[in-house]
Amino acid sequence: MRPRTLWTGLPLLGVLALAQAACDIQKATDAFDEVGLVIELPPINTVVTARILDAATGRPVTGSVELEFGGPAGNQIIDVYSDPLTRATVNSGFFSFGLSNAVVPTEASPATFTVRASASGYQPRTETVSVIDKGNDAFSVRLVPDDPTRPMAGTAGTRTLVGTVAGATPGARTLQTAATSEEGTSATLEIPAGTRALKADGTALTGDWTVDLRYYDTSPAALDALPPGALTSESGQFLLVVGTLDMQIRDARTGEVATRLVTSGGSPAPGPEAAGPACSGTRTTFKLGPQALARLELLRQTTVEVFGRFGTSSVPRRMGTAPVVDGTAHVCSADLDFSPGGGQPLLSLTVVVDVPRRSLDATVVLRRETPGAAAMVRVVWGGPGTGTIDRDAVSLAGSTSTTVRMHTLQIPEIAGYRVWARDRAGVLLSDTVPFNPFGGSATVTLRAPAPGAIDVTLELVAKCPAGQKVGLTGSLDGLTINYQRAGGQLVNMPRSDMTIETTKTAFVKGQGIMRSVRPNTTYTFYATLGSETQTQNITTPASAGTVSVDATKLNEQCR
Amino acid sequence: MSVPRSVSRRLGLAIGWATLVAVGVDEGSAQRVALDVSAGSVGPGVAVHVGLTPRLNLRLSGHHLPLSRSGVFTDDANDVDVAYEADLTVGGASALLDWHPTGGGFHLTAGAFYNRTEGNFSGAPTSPYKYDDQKTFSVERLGTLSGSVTYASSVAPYVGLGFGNPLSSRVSFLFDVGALYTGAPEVTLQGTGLIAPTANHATTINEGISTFTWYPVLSFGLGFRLAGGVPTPQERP
Repeated sequence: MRPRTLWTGLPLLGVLALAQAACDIQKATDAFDEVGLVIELPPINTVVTARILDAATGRPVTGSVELEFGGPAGNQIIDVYSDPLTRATVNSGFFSFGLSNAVVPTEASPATFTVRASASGYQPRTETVSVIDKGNDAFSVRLVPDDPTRPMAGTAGTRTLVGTVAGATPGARTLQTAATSEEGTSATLEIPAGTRALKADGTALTGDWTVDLRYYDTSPAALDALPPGALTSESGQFLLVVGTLDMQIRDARTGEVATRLVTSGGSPAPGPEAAGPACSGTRTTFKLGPQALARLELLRQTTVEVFGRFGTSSVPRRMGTAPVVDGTAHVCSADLDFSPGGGQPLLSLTVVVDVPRRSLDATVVLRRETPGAAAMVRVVWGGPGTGTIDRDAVSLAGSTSTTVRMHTLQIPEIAGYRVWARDRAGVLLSDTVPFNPFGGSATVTLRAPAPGAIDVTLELVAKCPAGQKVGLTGSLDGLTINYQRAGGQLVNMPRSDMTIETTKTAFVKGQGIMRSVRPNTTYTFYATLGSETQTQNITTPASAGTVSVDATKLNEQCR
Repeated sequence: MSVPRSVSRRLGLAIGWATLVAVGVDEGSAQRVALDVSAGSVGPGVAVHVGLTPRLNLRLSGHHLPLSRSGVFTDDANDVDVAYEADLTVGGASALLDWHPTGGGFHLTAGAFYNRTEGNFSGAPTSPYKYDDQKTFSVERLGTLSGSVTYASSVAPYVGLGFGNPLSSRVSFLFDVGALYTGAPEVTLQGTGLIAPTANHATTINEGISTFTWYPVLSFGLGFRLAGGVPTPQERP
């Protein structure tokens, strides 16, 4: 080869070598090392947190709770991973889930569903929930302890062993509850001699009984925890709720519930009596305190109807009618006809008062002690005959007083109403205020933030070991935060106060703002994703600032 | 995967045209035609060499190498098995000029390559993804992933050098080394289901291979002179 050829070929070889050297192999290798499957959760527009609380303590139920969803929007419920959800097991008292993004709840078109919660040691309970806006919402299910002797606001209970002979009570027994803590009222149950208890399958309970009684007065605490069947409406009529007695007869050996009788109703003593062979001979008598009696004084001339639910039927059947004249109900045992039950056990008894209702143009003045940030306040009316009626009030931004009008409120003409305010998550914001439904108005004062209240930012930082990442990324919309100080109420953090920072492959950092909390105070913090809840205590700083949250649970997800 | 019919037709026409031109020109040049078969980084191929001058040859070639592979790999980070199928087609057609500055086998080459190199793949998890002992995602919810690798331009200039001149002897050994300026390949990804965001890695990959603008060419071949050419010393009387 001639030198000229070399001079021609060698530079070209050099150019080719440079061309290949320009390929940054390390950069490419690094890029491909970063590649891996990314499993990312889709966004969820509406997330709801169920808070399963012990009605006696107000604290989350820490045992296993089974949830079952139903109702009109029940088929739109999804878990935090966007899979359809019909039932769930909760172990920490908190459960977050979502509504399908196909549902856009509004006040005019709420997404309504039911949640049935059951847990060992508690009476099962079904709540109906209406979600009216996207974002984060929360509701509480207050489970009433099975043991009626556990103290609970607004209730009083007893647990009594009743001996039987061949399944029948040998003598009459009178069971008396203590007075309730809120209103000082009580209930008495009389069990005549020879009474037998029938189980749901119609067979008689043969051994001794354990009779549980829990009496509910009409305080807000009791209204929140009323047992199923105590607060329903029949044919558009309101129930008269002036005290509710929940009785359960159990097999003393096994603890199995044989029969349950929920009785809602009341009148001046001696009140309605339910007696007869079809209800196993039980006789209930309410002895109401003066406060409850006063509520009936304003009853106009009307009619009282008594309905009973028998056996396995869910349809209440009319058992009797009595006129009410000048506030005195003339309903006695002789007036009740048990034949509609066809010999089946009486399961529940309700007294329906056909009270004239009136369209009330009521006003409530919401007043806050100090101006504050915008807040949507829920005004709640409650009392005998209605249970509770909620209305959202207007925002209170920048003002100290707002008048809320209830143009379409229709309530029975019964005294004893109260009004109070809650936030969207159900947190009580005020004291309860007496409210006269006959044209009166009331002023509800929102509690001012505690003196020196501060905003605290919670910060959670994920620190996976090098080369690892959190197994799931994405919106993490299902993550919800609740917090509570000792003796305080649970507060659900709105989504607008939460920020979650992610990269394209990993969760990095989450922040949430606890608003108007007390400085130097210990709060219990619950971070919930689906059925998983991380609980820890946080002590707020002396002034507004940031508190780091333990990310151990999250970091355990590093892969 | 086969060469598209339009490309095959163009390649055949080009080779036929070159052959006709070669045999139809003056008597001296009419004898300077050769064929070669080769294998290399642009795939196996055939070429026709036409001597334009004693030191300059026109080389028209076509290459085609279809590759396919399927299997299952495990994404260790998530402990998910993924079944995949991948197809890669390497090749195209080229028109090159070989300059033999010494009159021997050594040559410098330049020209253009009609680049038909491309790849496609698809993958889908075959095992569910278990998250935190609480939740398992089915393969249906995980979804699928597919993608392709292409070049923005189908025409790539080529420079290179080599040894061998198929017009110089009845049978000759050919060697070429060079590079195609293809521009960086472009990776596109599409996904469905929960793994759909994996497609966002396309940006990372494209950034990582952005410097891969030259495609290396290395080929070996055997040339066969059809007629004419420069007689070798052994062939001279």
